[in-house]
Amino acid sequence: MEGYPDYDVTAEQDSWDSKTRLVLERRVVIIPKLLFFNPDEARSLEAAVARLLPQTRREPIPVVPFVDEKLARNVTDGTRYEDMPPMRDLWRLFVSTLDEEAQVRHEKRFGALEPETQDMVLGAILKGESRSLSWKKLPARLAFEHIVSTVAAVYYAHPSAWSEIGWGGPKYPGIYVRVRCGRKDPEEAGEVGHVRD
Amino acid sequence: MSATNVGHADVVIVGVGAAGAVLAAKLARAGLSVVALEAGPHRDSEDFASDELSMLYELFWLDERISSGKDPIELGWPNSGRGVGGGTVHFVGYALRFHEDDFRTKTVDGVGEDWPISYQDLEPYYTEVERFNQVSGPTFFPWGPYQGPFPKRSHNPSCMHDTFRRGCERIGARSTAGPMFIITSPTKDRKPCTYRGFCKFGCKPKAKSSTLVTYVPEALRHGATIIANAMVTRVNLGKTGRVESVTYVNKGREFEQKGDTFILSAYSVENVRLLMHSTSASFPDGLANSSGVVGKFLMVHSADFVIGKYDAMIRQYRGPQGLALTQEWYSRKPDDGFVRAYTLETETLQPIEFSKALIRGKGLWGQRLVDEMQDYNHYASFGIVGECLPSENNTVTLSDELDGFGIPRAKVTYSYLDNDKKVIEHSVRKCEEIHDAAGAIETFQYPGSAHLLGTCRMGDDPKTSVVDKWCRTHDVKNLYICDGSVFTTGAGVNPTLTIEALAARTADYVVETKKRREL
Repeated sequence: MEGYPDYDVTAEQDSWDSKTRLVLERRVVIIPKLLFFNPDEARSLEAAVARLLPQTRREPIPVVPFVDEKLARNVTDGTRYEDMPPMRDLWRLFVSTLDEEAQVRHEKRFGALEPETQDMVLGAILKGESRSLSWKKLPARLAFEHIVSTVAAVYYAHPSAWSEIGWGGPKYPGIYVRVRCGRKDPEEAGEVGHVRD
Repeated sequence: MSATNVGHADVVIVGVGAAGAVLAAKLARAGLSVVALEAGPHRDSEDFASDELSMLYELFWLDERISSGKDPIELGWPNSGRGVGGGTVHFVGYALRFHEDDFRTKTVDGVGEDWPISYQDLEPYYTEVERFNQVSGPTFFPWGPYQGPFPKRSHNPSCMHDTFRRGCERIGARSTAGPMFIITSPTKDRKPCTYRGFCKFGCKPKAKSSTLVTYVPEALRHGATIIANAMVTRVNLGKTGRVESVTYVNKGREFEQKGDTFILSAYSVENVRLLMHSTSASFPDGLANSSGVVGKFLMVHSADFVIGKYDAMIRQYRGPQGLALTQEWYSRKPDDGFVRAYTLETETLQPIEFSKALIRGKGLWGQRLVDEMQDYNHYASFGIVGECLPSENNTVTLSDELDGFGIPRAKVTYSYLDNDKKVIEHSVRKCEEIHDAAGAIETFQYPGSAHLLGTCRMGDDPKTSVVDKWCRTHDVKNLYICDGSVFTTGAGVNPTLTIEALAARTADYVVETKKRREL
């Protein structure tokens, strides 16, 4: 087994500043209620997110509720590329394209497909090879980047994901002392299989 | 709705970022009454959370702008801040001077345009802002007109710094720890860097010399008034052809601030939006735009990353977010097949941005994305700051869509020129060579751009430029524009040091002008 099975970034949390603790506690504890997607849409999106960022952990990091919250509040990212619809329309279109594409190819809803089939359908959509006309019109690369990076931002904002990848965490107050190659401070993650460092 | 009149100031500044804060501090110190209006909040450094996601949605200008062109740029995260301190609250902090030739690309290389000022004009101001910001740097800087010294010693080397410099050394290129806007020893109320790579997310220890912790306190100490959450919606021209006031919205109410001299320091998109929206009988195409040049010659820096994967652990989250650099290929000549400049720099990508790099750069999703993220600690990120030449076709214009203040949203149009693409190609190849020499097992490119320059460019000719060499608009005597938007060309370095130096110089000129009038 690789990675950082023994590392828990939150072991240090008592030393973090109060503002940071507050932000992270809210993120971990308060899961937003769905306001933007209807239950059918949310189910399809859940199925897609499970393939976009597969999780094997016992307690999965919730992603869809935070995407929903971003959309409900219309928290935009600063850029609307000219050929792209407004962010909310893009996500509705993405979710409806999932089911449409699954229907056309396999006569099922996206959520009812096997994971491997879901990957094929998703892959086609993300590459802009969807048969759905309205999705086809979008700049595929930009739509792909927005959808996947929005999902990844939710996931990699969660302390469990930080532990998973061996990231050092907020680290404030505090200071890294042994920062050169082959060295680490005692509280930093040690990777299984790596003797040096 | 009629605006409440809130009085008169000697100088009214719009935007309190890199330039606005320097101006406010120096003008207030000279005894002038200064009101500086900032669209975003005035935070205390203790307000920052040590958290990438929440800061991504707090420190940046994320009102939607429409991006078009052949190479549409990403707006917001790579290039504009919101709140007192502006972009310096989230910049990485490389404090690099222009080289002498950067001010005369037309004469030297036959491209771009010459600035109406030279390196020598700005030299004392570079020194002034380096001192005030307590820039830390190497004992010897190998390139350009200034080799040091810098006010503070340079930072402790991190693994990413060492990896970059090892690669450089093996291909015979000089490299150095960069001059940084980050202190290495404490001052009265600021701690030195804690090496956790959070420069882009608000520096809680105040080690990074954002204007929020340097020039803003200085401005307040000398009696400047800084009004936060004040979105300026219009610049009002009086009957005499001088600007009389600006209108701003604060908590839903409209106010009118009168003044003697006005300075726009709201950066390359918002300055244009404000000028274009402030039309009048004498300026039907936008205030100070008799030339038609307002909004044209927008420039960015190409800011692609080349990210290398190593067997050994790099742990790029440690260290100041940026540290090592080389300018070994800074001045390109026609024999190279292209001209102009670039710098290569290390820059930490924290987990969320690193995931974006894998998504944009490698097209990853699904299990492959999760697997590569698992190896986060094995990656090192080197970035380019590539000069892009000015073009009339790269623009900021107004769209048909209104924002919440009733001002048309900006439309930004950008396409790289051929020379720009060659700069990218060459610099990316050099990054790959450095990674390879340092022992990387594979590399990938994460394309992007950074900084917004031009759009209100500086020049001697009122027909082809918007401001003169003192940042005063050619058209309106008491209106100045001072920030990155006046850059005639962009050079191959991070722009903040030059923006602050220009602001320091303009402040001296405004003070002198006022004194002369009093005599």
